[in-house]
Amino acid sequence: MYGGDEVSAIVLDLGSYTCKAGYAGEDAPKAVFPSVVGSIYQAGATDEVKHEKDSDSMYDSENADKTKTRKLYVGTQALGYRRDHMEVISPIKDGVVVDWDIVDNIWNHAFRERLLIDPKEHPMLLAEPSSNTPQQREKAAELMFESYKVPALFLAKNAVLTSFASGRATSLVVDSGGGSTTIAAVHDGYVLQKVIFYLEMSLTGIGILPVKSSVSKFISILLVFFCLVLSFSVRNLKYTLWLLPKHFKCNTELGSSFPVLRSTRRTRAKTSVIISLHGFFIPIEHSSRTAKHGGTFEAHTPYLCGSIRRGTKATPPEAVGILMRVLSQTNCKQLVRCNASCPCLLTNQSTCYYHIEPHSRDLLSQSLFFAKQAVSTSPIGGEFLTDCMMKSLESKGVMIKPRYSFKRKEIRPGDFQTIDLDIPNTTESYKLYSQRAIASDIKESVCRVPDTAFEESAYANVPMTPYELPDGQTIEIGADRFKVPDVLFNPSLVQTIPGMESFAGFASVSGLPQMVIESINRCDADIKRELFSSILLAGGTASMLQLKERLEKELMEEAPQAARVKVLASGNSIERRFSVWIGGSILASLGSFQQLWFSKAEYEEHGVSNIQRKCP
Amino acid sequence: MEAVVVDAGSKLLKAGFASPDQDPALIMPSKMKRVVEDGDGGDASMIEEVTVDPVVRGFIRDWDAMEDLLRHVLYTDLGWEVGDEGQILFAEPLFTPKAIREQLVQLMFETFNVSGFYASEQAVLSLYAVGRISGCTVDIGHGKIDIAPVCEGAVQHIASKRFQIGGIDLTNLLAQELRKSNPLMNIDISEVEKLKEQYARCAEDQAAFEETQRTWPKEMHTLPDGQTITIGREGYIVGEALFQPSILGLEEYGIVEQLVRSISSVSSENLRQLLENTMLCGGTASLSGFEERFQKEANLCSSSIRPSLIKPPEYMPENLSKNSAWMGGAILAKVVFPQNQHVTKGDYDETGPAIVHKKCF
Repeated sequence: MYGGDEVSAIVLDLGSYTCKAGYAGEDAPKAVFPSVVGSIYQAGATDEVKHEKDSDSMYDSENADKTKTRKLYVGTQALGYRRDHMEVISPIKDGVVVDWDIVDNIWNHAFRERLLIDPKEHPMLLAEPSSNTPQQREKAAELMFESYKVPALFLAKNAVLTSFASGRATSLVVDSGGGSTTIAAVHDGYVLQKVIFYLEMSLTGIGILPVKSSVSKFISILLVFFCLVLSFSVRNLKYTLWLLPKHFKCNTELGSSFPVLRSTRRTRAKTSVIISLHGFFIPIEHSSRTAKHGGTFEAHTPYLCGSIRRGTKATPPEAVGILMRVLSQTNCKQLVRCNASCPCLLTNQSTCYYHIEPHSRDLLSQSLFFAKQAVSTSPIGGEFLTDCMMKSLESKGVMIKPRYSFKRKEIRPGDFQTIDLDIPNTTESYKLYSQRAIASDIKESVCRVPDTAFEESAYANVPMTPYELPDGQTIEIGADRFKVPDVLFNPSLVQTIPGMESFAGFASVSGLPQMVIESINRCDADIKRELFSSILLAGGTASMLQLKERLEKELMEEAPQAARVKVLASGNSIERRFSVWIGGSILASLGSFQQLWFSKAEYEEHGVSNIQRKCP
Repeated sequence: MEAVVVDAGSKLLKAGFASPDQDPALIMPSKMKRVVEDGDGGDASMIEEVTVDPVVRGFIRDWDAMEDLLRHVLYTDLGWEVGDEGQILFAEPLFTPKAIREQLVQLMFETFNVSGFYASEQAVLSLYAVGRISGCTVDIGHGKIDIAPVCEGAVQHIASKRFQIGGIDLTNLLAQELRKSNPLMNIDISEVEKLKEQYARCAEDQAAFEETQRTWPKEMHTLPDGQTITIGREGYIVGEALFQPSILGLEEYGIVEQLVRSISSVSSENLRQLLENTMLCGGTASLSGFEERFQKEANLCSSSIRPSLIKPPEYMPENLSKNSAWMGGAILAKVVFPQNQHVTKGDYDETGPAIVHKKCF
């Protein structure tokens, strides 16, 4: 493993708008560049004349379609130069990476041309979206290890890193970035991905049948055990019932005694049961207390468990149906099929059927578990607000001219005139990209979140702020200053902006305060208070003026009376924009983190799926 | 004893004791010749000479050569004595990889046994030389061009840019052009270097440049070996290359446009202050006509705030732009070393090379 001091890890955060890269231990990323690339398709595999100097960020890449090669241009410099037929494309759609080739190029640009390092010598900490799928993680890990040959890797969720950056282990992170807004709850350093809900339970008594056979005896003891577990308070119940299969360790050293279902410290915030088609699972946490009641168990003790099939998002009515079906299936006394060597190791594919007495069936049917996504995303992000600003300005007759489309000429000494250049062969996407760059600068410099909900009449007479465009014309912005940021709080405002009717679907998206309240409500009652008092703002869009105050105000109105609402955001706008990266920098430079890296040796030995276990 | 300030450039190494408002005591080419002798000594005439560049594109690449060079500079030229080494301050380019910094500090403490070390970025030092702590520097050197906005002494890395083009590429361009117009001549590259310094100039603006391309001004020049060549419009081409990089075959905008675009990512409150305090430095920036052309292009660029160049103070020597990094280093050395903000031998022994990242920024 690696010692903490000599290691210079690299922290890489590929967002939907910009990519941030830099050394761990520093307070800001060294390389920040857009995460879109320019691409030019060339028909036929002709050899390009290589330039003498390699100061351009060019990278040849082959398309899946062999008849056309595609040249990619990465980075602000390369993207800023207008080229004929250059399209601007993004590798990320709806938060999911669709084009890994582009991501490869982006990483290559970051390492070789911006940071000037050799990836073979530095461990990498990758920041990933809070709702990343296992396939994406595996692909990222594969790419890192195979093409860059990094010595070690770690994947951390954005929300967790933001939490670290503010020094808290539990918080609700509102990450409002370029492409989307994500709200995730972090508890003890783990993102609460799926929260278990359960309906009321009424504990009817469990009868312990006096049984003669040893098997049934064990089962009944287990039922007692289960009953005791159920009789804990709601909170305890939930926590004991949350267990990740991968955190089960069969303590085979103990031999044939009761296989200790030892969960690691990380039980709390992980994905838990989802009712699957085969049955349902009541994970049992073995604690020293309950073991005493149970006595010694044999290695082949059956457990009350079913199989876990991840990804099934069962809604309550469905869940009841499934449960009923399962229970009816096990009417007959089907014995457990256990893996004798390691019966407690439950993987996705393990199927154990349980044997249940009629009493407990009723009991269990009353306790329903279903999971719900606790990480919520909204498509309203910085880029969307920029589009709103652009369309709004266009409707008022302001034409934003991209930087490449005009030239200034000196007609007489001291007298300048702007001349429009007509440049055919510039793609729409590039023109849009250049216009967006200017519009986002306007947004960042003049926009402010209004103190109350935006109304046309109230802001009709607000004083106009001047802004000078690159081509020299000065525009005045009035009500838009407040209208555009208010879209975050009230997405139905989108419909009032002319030109944005195509986004009418967004009107049904809930505003920011509603999303926050919903997220918190999905979590446990006991951590709700803590979450209310530590709401963190992160991301570029979150550095808008007055956002913190407005959000706090709205939340205080909607939150329950007893809760103390506190929205935290670092004062420095650079810190807010890069809080995910900064959290990664802090994490990767901690001494105690160095043993958690997923090393190349492990990857080669155990394969890429181990990353799910190592990087929660 | 004064501290020594060293600015190791790709072409020239500037070194000397820290005395502000004076030129560096030593300006010497950093190109070295390695004399390789055949080991046996049997065939004594087989001595090859290979030119070695320890500094490539601004970064130190050949450490053995660098060590020899520094040894010569420090002990022979500046008069250090073994056992009584002083303190040293290095000027380094933008985006220096961490590994190179660490290796440099290791070299200094372990091989040369200096008593104190400090490293700072050339952009910041150049601004100190003109008496400012905030502004933009455009450092056009032999191996690279660095554009860096500096706010209160801290380089804004996010908005900075580094280009891998510099004086050396202009020299190659000139050689190429001369070969086209004087096809029978075979001119050595070091000669071309001298020709560039003598004849390269910037046209007043783009229209004037196109004039020269049409009218072909000619001058005769006699090379040391007796041959005469004609040179004229080639000089203008070289000067134009920085403003129109397509001449060099690159798909980039001219230098002023690059400056404006890279600066635009800094927050707008500081923008005005930065752009209005732009400083040109570096050897290549002393091309005749460059500053005027730069100012003119600045008026035509696509930005609401126009960059304007600052005037160096009168008490500074003439060739400020060439050696500004060194002079800024001299100023900084007078501040850092007496106040013990540098890396001492004790610090290095305790923490190792990584101390340089914590103490020098």
